[in-house]
Amino acid sequence: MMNPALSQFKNEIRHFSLVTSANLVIGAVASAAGILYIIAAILGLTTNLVSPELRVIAGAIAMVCFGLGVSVLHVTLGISRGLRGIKDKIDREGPAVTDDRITCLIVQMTAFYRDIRKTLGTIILLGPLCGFCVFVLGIVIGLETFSITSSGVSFTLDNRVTILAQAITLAIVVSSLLSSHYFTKFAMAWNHRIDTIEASECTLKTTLGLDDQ
Amino acid sequence: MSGRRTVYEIYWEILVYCKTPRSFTAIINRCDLNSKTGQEYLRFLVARGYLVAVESGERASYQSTPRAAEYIALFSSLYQKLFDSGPEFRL
Repeated sequence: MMNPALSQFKNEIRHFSLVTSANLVIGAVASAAGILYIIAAILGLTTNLVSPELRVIAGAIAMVCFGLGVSVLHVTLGISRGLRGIKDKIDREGPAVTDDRITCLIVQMTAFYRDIRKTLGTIILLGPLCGFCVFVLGIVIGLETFSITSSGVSFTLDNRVTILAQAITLAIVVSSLLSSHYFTKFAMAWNHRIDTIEASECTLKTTLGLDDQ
Repeated sequence: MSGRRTVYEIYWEILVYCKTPRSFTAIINRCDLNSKTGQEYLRFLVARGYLVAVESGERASYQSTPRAAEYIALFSSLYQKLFDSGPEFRL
């Protein structure tokens, strides 16, 4: 029977790896959507937009989208590389893993978490922002008519664009919110572990005979 | 092993690695330490009786003592217990 700590550790790494991969996709889609709109605007393919002002707004959103997408991609890639190293080590282990080896993997993940703690905080904020930008860009591109009057705001969306594009952008928003939620859950679990480690350092200190210093 | 580690994690790593006699160079390479901090860690562990310097030919190597087993076991149980309680991450 597999050590329960190892079994849970393996599951957590596998699940975290999945969330990281999803975030990579979100970053890639957001940066692609942003750059595609910018290229289309340069080539003059965005003239079907309601007004020139809206084209400017869409251009600005596309640039933000591209910037956020690249940031998410870059930050997530950093996490992904470190995580892959640990995941590969776990996968290389045979069925009989020694106690020392299990602890070694846990220590490695703890050290890795200390390294990515701040980055994870950034990605929890950047991810949903990135998804939201893709969604807004999708809405702006899909606008057929748009008017602001004293009685309110009215707009019509282009059905041909809306059905597919909006479904994709909505999926990106939902995925970005979900990945942010799971990153938060992961951070909470590991912050708790780091606190537990700090609390148990007293015991280790006493065992090493450092408490008399 | 690299990344941000506590001194207790580094002590544990050295002691586990030195279950069989290891040279100073092998220890600092394996534990990703520079020679200055490596010397300090080894000096501390030798002074506390957790490591012993073994002379093999011209080169000295270090080996964990039976006293180190107590620290290794305590450390392992503390770190593995992290997965027994508290919030668990799952999808």
